Amino acid sequence: MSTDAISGTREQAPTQESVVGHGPRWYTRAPLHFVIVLISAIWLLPTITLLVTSVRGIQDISTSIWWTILWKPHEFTLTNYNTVLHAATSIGMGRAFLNSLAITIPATALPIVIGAGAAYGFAWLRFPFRNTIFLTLVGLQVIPLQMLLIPLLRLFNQWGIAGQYPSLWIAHTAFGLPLTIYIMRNFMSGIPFDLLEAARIDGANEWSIFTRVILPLSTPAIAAVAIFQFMWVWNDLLVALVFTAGSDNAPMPVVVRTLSGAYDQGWQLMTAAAFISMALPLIIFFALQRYFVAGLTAGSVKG
Amino acid sequence: MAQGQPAITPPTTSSVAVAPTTAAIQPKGRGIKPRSYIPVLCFLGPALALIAFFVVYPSIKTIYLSFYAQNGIGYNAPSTFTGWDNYTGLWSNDQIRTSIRNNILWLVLVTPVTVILGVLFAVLFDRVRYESIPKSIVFIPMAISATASGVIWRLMYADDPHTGTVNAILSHLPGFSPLSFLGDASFVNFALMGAQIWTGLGFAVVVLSAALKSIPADLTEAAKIDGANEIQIFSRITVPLMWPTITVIITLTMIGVLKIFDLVYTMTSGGPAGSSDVLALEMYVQSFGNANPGVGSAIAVVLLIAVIPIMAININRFRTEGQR
Repeated sequence: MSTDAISGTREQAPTQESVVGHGPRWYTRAPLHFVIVLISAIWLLPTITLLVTSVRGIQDISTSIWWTILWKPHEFTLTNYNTVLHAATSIGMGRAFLNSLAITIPATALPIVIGAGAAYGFAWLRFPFRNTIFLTLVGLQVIPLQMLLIPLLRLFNQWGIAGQYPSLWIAHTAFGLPLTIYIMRNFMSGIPFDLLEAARIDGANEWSIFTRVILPLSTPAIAAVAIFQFMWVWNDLLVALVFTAGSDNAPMPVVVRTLSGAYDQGWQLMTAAAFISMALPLIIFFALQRYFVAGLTAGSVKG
Repeated sequence: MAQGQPAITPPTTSSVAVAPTTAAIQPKGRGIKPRSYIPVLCFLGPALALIAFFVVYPSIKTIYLSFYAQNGIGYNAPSTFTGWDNYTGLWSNDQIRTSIRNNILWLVLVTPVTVILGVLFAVLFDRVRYESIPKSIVFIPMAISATASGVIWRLMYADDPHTGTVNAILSHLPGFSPLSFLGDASFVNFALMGAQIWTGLGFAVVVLSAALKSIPADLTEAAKIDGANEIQIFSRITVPLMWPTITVIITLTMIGVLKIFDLVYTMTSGGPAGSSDVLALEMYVQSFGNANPGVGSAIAVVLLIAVIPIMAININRFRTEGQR
């Protein structure tokens, strides 16, 4: 199985054309090409609408549709971005972007560091009730986020950390762990036992087997888990809303939502803010497409 | 994991590639017998402690809270045991009944449309050489947060034909006039579902496409030689062999739809007049807006109970595949 889910091609099987010898000509396949181009156009249109609207002035947005910019390129402006980055809301998107980084980086690293050890334990260390505990963990993935919010908010209020970064680190780490462990354990248990035994014979203890054998070989799983956890936290609205709404530490989705909410400040700011919040994931998508798809697919069972 | 699901595979010592390992259960005797249980505790302790304290305990607390009514505002406000009142109250609350109705509408409409379009797109894209391009394009919305996606679709659906793409197109078509997609109670749910399908379909296409590629070409070739036509091959070979993956898409879509929140909250906040409200949004409003944690907890428990049977199908499949 190829990791390249997007461009993955069939390995065997010559194509239909080559079997027949003289395949269908391009014009008999024209309707197929047309439909595919149409689908692609429809799927691109919303994102293009957002991008173009975000670089037009408020006056232009309400008087002519966005594709007017094609023949009036002088409409292009970056004012919206400038406004929204600095002070369109109580906190600007600039601060919100930094908040998102400050929340997401630890909330991605922690479940991986903590989860990798647990995954190794479940995969290769023998101890009583190993499978029972592991299956319980798998079962915990059924729990919706909504089941945690009220008690966690009370707890964080008591500890005085509600509205601060650590409340989000804790919530995302704990909620991300069951799936992180599940994916990494399944991967690690596929590593050949011979490798572990050889290390063992060479005198390695559990810790050095983990750091020198298991971790280096688990890079693909770690990359996949890192990407889905990063995307989950970066794009999360609900947890951020409950723990940071109204505070200066709110990440981008909360601020975007505020801009589009009760205080409707106009399309030009809402669209620029939304595009800023999408930029990093889109860069990751285009730069690391294979890992991105593998990661999001692996993490899709998350609730 | 699903048949054909793009999987990350561990390295092997032999040159023969192994199937993605999904064995849910490790054979009893397999693994390193540690000299003591101290390393076991070091490796597993932190994770299990965090999960116990920040996942299991809050969940139990939420079930507990769902049987109490809070008198007053603030988490220190006194509360009284009210038995099943919070649950029976869900039915008598018009707004929550609307939410339940909407969630069911989402389930019965979004799930089949996602599966049918997913299979259709996967099969269409499979027939062209530049397949990776449309697949990437359809997958792009997966990189976009539901919040940003909500802004995108508010813009697409904007009432003003100078702003909203859909109404701009409608106003250029003869016989159509601009519609208020998000302001009209009879359209709003379908408009939201359209936005959700745009956002989530890429996942279904990529997974189903991988399943399609894992069907051995010999099978379809043999069927062709036996005189089967395209439709017969599709319905007798392609769909049955993709069925396990289709089940995954069905269950995952259902779970996602039951918990839909971000998109609805960003686009309509449940409006107009509560007509597009959903359970997850109502849970948020009751718990954190209306200071009704008892009712909010009861909704959370209802969501949990609704998800359990769907998730059970998935986990059961993981287990049976692991034993193969």
